[in-house]
Amino acid sequence: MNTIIEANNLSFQYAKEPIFTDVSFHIHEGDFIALTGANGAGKSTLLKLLLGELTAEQGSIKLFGDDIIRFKHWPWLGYMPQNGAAMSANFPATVLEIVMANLYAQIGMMRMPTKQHRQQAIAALEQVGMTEYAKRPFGMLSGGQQQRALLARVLVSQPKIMILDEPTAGIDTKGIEVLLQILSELNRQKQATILMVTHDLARASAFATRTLCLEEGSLVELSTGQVQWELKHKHQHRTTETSA
Amino acid sequence: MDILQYDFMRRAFAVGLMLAVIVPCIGVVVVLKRLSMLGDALSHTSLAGVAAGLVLGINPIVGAVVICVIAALSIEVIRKKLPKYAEMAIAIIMSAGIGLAGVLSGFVKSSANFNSFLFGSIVAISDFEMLLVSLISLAVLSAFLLLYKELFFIALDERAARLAGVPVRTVNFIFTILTAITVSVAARTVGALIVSSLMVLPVASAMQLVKSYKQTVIVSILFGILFVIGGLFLSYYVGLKPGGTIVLLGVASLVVLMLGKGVLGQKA
Repeated sequence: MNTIIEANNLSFQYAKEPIFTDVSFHIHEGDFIALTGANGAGKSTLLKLLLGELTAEQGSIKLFGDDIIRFKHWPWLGYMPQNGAAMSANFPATVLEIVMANLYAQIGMMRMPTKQHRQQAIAALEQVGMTEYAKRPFGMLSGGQQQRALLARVLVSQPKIMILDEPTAGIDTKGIEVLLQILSELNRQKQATILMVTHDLARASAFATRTLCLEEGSLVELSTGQVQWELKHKHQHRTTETSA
Repeated sequence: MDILQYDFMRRAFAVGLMLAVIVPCIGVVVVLKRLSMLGDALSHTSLAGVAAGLVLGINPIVGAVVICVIAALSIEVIRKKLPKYAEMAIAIIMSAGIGLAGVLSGFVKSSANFNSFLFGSIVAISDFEMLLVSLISLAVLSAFLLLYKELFFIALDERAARLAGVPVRTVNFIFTILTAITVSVAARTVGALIVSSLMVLPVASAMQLVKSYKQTVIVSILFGILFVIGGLFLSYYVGLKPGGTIVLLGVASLVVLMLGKGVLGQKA
C-alpha cells in the first residue's frame, strides 16, 4: 500500500510555546483517519504543516515520497477548510461556480471552463447528493448542504488525499450523519484516502479506519478498545461534572 | 439631445462609460475579498501623488499612479506580515497618504488645480487623459477577463486556490497594480474622495439582486453605467457637480434596493 503522507519527529511551537513534540505518523492509500484532540491541541497547526503553510521547527514531512519543500503537486491534496461554509455563506456564487473553481488545474491559467468541466462538477455534486442544488446560491443552503457542496468542491479535482478540517462542525445531527456516510462510502467503495480533523470522536470512530489523537503535545494512535475507553471515560467524566 | 452637442460632455460620457465598466470589475473582487476600504485608502493616497506631481512639474495623474502603486504594494506587504490585522494595513497607508498629501499641498501654487482632484472634473478631460483612460480601461478589462476564474477563486478561498494550483502571489500582484492604476485615473475624473464609492456601490447594489458571481459582475457593471450616465444627466440638467451626483445616485439606488428587498423579504 502506497504511503501518501510520512511525518517524522515533527515539533512545532508558537512564540516559544510548544504545541507538539516529536510527532510521527504515516498515512497510507485508502486510510480514513479521524484526527482528534482537545481545542488548542494543535490539530489545525498540524494540517497547516501538511499543507506547507507552516514549517516545522524539527522533523520532516514527505508527501507522496517527496520532501514537502520540493513537493509541487498540491492539486493532489483536496482541502476543505474549517468554517468553510461560514466563510462562503455571504459570497454571491452558485454551488456550481464554487465546485467548478477547484477544476483550476485541469482548466489551466487564463482559460475558460468547457462543457466537460461543467459535467465533471455535476458528477461531483451527484456524489454528495447535491445535483438539484447546482444553480442555487451557496448562501441559501443549510449548514449541512453547504458542507456537502464544499466536499463536492474537494471531490471534483479527484485528489489523492482529502484533508478535511472539522467538516461536521456547526451542522445538525442529521447533516453530520449524511456527511460521514458519504465519506465512509467514498472510502470503502472508491478507496478514497481521508484525513479528517474532528471533535466528534464517537461518530467519527464509527466510520474511520484509524483514529489519531493529539494530546498534551504528543500524537497517539488509538486502537478500537482505546477509542471505546476514551468515549466511556469522557462520558463518565462529563456526567460527574454535570452532577457535581 | 442638447447635452451631447458639447464636446466636453461627449468626452465626459465616453470616459464615464469606460470607468463605469472597469471600476466595478475591480470593485467586485475588492468587496468580496473584504477590502472595501482599499479603494478609499488608495484614492486618498493618490492625492499625495497629485500634489507631488504638481510640485515637481510632472503630470499629476502620473504622480498619482506611481504613489498608488507603491501604496497598494505596501498594503499587501503589511497584510502578509500582520495577517491578523489586515485592515490595519489599509488604515496605516491611508494615514501616511493623507499626511503626505496635506504637507505637499502646501507647496502647490495653484490650489484650484489640486482641489479639482478632490471631487474630480469629469467635464474637463484633456486629450492625454482621454487616451490614458482608454488604454487603462482596455488593459484592466483584458486582465480582468483573462484572470476571471483566478480572481474568483482567490476571493472565495485563497488557501484552496493555492492548493488548486492558482499562482496566488502573481495574480494578487497583478490585481494590486490594476487596482492602483484604476483608482488613480478614476480619482482624476470622478474625484479622489468619491472613487471608492463607485467601486463599492454598484457591487453592493448588484448583491441585493443576484444569485451568482457571474451575475454579480455583469449587474455591477450595469449599475456602474446607470450611476455614471444617470449622474451626468442629472448634474447637467439640474446644475449639480457631476462626481457627487454620481455617488448620491448610487447611494439612493442602494437604499431603495435594500428597502425593497427588506419589504419583499417580509412578505415572503
